[in-house]
Amino acid sequence: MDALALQREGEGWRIDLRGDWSLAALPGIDLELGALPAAMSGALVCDWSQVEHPGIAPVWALLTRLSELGSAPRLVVRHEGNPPHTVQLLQKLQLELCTSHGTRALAVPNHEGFVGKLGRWTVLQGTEAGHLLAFFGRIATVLGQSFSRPRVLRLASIARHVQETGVSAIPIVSLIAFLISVVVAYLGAQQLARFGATIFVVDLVTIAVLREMGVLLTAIIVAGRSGSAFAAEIGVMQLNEEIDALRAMGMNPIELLVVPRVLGLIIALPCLTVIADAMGLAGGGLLSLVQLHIPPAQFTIRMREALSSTTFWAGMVKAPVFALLIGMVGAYRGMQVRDSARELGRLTTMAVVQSIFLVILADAFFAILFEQISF
Amino acid sequence: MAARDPVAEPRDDDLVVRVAGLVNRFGSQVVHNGLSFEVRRNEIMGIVGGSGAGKSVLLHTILGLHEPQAGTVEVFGRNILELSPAERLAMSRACGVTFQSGALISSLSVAENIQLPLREAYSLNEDLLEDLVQLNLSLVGLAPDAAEKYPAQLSGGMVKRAALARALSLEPKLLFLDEPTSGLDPISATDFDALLLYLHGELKLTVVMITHDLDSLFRTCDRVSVIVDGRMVTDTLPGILENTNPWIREYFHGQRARGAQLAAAGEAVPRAAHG
Repeated sequence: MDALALQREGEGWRIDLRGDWSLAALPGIDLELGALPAAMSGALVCDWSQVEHPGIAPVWALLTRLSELGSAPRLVVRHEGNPPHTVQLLQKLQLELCTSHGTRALAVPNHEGFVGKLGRWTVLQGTEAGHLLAFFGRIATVLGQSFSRPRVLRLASIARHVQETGVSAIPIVSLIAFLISVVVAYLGAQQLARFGATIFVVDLVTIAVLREMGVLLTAIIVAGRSGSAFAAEIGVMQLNEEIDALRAMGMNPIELLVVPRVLGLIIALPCLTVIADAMGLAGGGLLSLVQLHIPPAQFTIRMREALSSTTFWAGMVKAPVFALLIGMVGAYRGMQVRDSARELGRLTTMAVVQSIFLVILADAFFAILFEQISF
Repeated sequence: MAARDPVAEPRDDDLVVRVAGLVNRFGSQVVHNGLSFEVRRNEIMGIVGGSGAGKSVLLHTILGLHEPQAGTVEVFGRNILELSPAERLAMSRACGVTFQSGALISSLSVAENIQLPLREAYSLNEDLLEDLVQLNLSLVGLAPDAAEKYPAQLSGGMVKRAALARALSLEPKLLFLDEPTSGLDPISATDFDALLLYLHGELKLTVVMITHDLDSLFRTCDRVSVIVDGRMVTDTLPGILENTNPWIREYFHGQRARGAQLAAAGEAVPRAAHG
């Protein structure tokens, strides 16, 4: 299996190269080259007469190793026994590489402490927030123009996005709202049974679904479905220079791509919320019937008593705000995609994570606000 | 051994690629209609044809990326439609390909792109991999500092060269190039032609090149194949210029073609004088 054998020859050295020298044999050859003695000087003869299938990379590895070994005391290498034609080429390339190596500057290691990193992060977050605000401003500008020029609203495009983000999301939103509300009602019933107050399951389900869960669940599902789709669609367009093309043709990508998506979502999300609310109440009603033997008629009466005039609207009013956040963050992250497929993945992930975070943050603000104004 | 290495024992020493009776249809659109095509060892074969004539489909078929409706495709004397998975892997390592837009992996640096096929095929240590990156970069005439750059930071000409470096990293005997000079300025395109001729001579490569660049065609190709009406017409350059098919006449004797021929002829004179 030896690919090379080193022996002394008079004052100098001789290497007999043998067997398979193709690229596939390179790992073994590399090991044997590494085992060559470090101190060699004088004349060296490489005999190629017993080599089969000489590849380029193994020859390169041999030449590189020999030039490393022979750097201090000069090693004079001679190739014998019909060396492969590539030897000459590779020797020339190596010489060029050695001369250009001197000009290669080493990067100065950059030590920045914790404070430096914190500062950098803060500045980055500050500019990010500024950019997002500017992005919102540009959307608002287009909406402002739409009062004088309704054509900028592009109804066909909005309708398409209502279809994609709303209508096609109905099955999954219904299913999840139904199941989660069954789970909540079930857990509530177990706890309330201890006080003999199982009828209050109806109050629990009604208020939880209408005020919070319906809209929040819908927003999170839509953020996962449509926020990611917005970021990916616009991101790929950015990679293909389609956005630049639109700009160059005098069209506003915000008006053409972003506003229809955001408006479509602002229309679709409240509608989905109504459906989620209905399905949630149905789920609670079904569990009450099966588990607690509360007939639907009684469930409805109890539900009406639990409802105040604002319960439904306290949930609904949040839907357009959540839609705006999801649509804006998705489109904004998509617009930021540059250069590579990895960026696209990173920013799509970021779009989903940030829109869900912002939705929950906004939900908390609404909770405090409604508490303050007793809505 | 023969099953593992299709290059080692070719059945027919002269023909590297042999396509016969190829039929490709997409719905009602017939792209190839009994197309036959042969590439000899150690030649540079140019493929031309109108847009939609099926040049890329032919390339994909030869590479085994597309299954034809009928016909045989042999590469290194083996039918690529009947390869076992192991043979297919060996075959794809024996053929290097560059795609039209480079198709460098955008999230990897040039060095990582070149190392990618090497890492998959062999277990090599990091120092050696770095050496091989330098080897492949200097083979295609890129500076060593290009290694750390990402595809998005490269110019069009550098992308084509980096893609070629990646295609060469597994030391293929057969190289497919899909429009290697498209989108390059004339200087870069001329440089690329020179590079191709240089590598073809030094590494004893067989090259199949799809191109619309007539300058490149006249300067580099030994033979030219033209796809007309789903069939292939193959001839040497002087032969194809004499061809009487109206489309081929239009292609090689149009306004643009005459300029390219003049340029190629003009270049030949000083070359002969010096040689």
